[in-house]
Amino acid sequence: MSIQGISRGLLIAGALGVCLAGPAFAETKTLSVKPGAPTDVPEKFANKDVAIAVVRQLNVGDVYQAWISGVEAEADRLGVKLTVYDADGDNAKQALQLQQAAATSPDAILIGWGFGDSLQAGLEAACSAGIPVVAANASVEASDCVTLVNQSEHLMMQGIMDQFKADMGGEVKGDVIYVYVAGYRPLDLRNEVWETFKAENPGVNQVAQIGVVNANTAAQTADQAKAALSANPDTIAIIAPYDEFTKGAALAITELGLQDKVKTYGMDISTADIAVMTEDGSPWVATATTDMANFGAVSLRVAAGEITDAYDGNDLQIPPLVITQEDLRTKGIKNVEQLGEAFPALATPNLAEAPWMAKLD
Amino acid sequence: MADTSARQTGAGTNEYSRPDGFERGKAFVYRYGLLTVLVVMIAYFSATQPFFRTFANAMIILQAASIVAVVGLGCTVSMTVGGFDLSVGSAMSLSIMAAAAAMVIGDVGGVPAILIGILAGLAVGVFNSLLIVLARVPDLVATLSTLFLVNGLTLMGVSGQSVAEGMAWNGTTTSGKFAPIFKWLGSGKVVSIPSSVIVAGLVFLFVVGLLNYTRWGRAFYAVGGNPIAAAAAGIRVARYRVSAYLISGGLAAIAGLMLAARSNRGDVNVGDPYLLQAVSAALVGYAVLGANKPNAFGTLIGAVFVAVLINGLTMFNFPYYAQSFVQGVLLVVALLMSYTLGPRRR
Repeated sequence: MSIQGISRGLLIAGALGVCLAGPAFAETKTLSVKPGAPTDVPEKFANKDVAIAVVRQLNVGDVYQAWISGVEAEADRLGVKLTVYDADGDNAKQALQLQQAAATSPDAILIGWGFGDSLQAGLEAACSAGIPVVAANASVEASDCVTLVNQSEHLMMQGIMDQFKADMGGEVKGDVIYVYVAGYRPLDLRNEVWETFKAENPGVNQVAQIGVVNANTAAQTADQAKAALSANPDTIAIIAPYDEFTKGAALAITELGLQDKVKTYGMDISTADIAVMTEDGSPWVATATTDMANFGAVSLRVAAGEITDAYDGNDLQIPPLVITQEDLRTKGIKNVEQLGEAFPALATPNLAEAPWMAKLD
Repeated sequence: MADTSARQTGAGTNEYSRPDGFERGKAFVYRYGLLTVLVVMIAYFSATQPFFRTFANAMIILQAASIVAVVGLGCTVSMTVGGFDLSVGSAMSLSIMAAAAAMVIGDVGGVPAILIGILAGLAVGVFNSLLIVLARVPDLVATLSTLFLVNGLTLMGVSGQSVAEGMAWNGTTTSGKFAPIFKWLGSGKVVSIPSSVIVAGLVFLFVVGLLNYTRWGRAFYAVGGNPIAAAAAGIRVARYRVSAYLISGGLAAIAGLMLAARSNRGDVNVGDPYLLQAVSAALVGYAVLGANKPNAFGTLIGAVFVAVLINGLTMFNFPYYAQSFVQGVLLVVALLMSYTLGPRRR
């Protein structure tokens, strides 16, 4: 039910080229294509003479690999040359790389993940040099020169919570383990929805909160989940809203042989995640996702659009889709490419597409 | 290029019958090979990438090298006494967390936070010394256990969370801020030279002065070369080994403060990867000027070498996984220079 609801919202939002508003900051305004945006391919783009620097906080893992592949594909389409800086999760390194990127005077900078505390000096340098910055899933604030592109964390989390409730027959009653680590913007936003959900569904009894984020997240989450499951034998579900968490939760449930009793609700999707979800007896029953390759493509598109001054507003949220284990199994989906074909709503080709971009196809 | 071919033929067995020219070529590669490669690399990047040859980029390269250089110089000191400090990465993480928590949660201000961070690093050095000198546990295993202990301690102290301004702590939102001196250390400049480069430069002068120009330095190397002979010559071996681990911990702490200042956060376990980077810089340093031993100048070159390489390769859009491979190639080449081309040891 939630699938259709959300897809419908998605189509409407996509068709209008606007998006559902997230939490409102004073200076944040939803991004849309300007009436006066250029309609002909700007000369710089036609000559393939546009340079965009990509500064990524996180690069190891399926999600980030999918994101960058989308960025690269869209750069190819629009005739953009990329320079990619990878920080390996080291915020100090990313801070320096952003300053370095700003010093090379590209036409725009695209930040992939990152913390405002670390990026401030680099953002100031870029802004004072007049370089437009697009921040994808980064904890920075929108401004005149910084445009945000985000997955809609609230809608994603709401999607799996609705699915959870529907699977429980409309009323959730029982012990639930929750996986969460504070301090990561996407997780913090998902947590807001979880807090509301708990308040609205008093039958939900959160018996444990676990979670760790590091280079070995899935395995360590699995260890913690096993301990929590053993201590709370009446658990009915693990809410694990990040795919590394969900993989860990699924592993713990399977290794303890509890897959008939305990389900896990996750977030994100990759080819590896699809394999885990569709395995025989997999406890991972539903996930909410934004197609990460599409997210990468939209991020790059917005950066290119900003160079040509194509937009009003500075905040774009990419609408999500809820996908169930059953969907994947009945449609025989094995990888994200097939997923994209089966759920065309995942790709949002009209989102932030300036008129001149359409002429390149 | 002639040097390279000489090195390759040098793999043959009858090297004693080679003419003098070959031996001279081998000696040149042994002493200057790595520096030559560095110069050639810089020349190539400068010729092909206009931004590479700017002053701004030179400063970015030195900034990128500064943290690895400071930790690496600490490792160098512990290596001179024949030791090996595996705990430098965790000492970094501890000092980062201690300083960040002192400011954000404790709201103590900049200078006390810096002192707390450095004391945390020294404490790791003290603990290593107790294990190694007093309890006579071998260096490698002693510092390995310290690595885990300190990592765990760091995480326990902050309940596994990263420390950032405005974080939730015990149910309330913290109000402490990263002090201005940290912001200066992270992104400040003195006459267009970034402050982290200046700090790394001062640390380098300290270590090079200590190891190369003082009686202490000679004693460090004597202890590392042959502790029994050193003791027989009246050198108080234990004292030098303790000092070496204190310096190693202290410098790791300084590197940690530099890192925290640049990211303006205290991130969980963020120091860990620096252990391997630092050890690698120190080992590459063996091959610089044919030193064939831990040395401060070599370590500095080792750190700068990697920073130049990564900076240049990024401009050529080398993916991150290939960069790690290239770094491995550099290390192997450096090790071949110092171990294979170097004077034979028994």
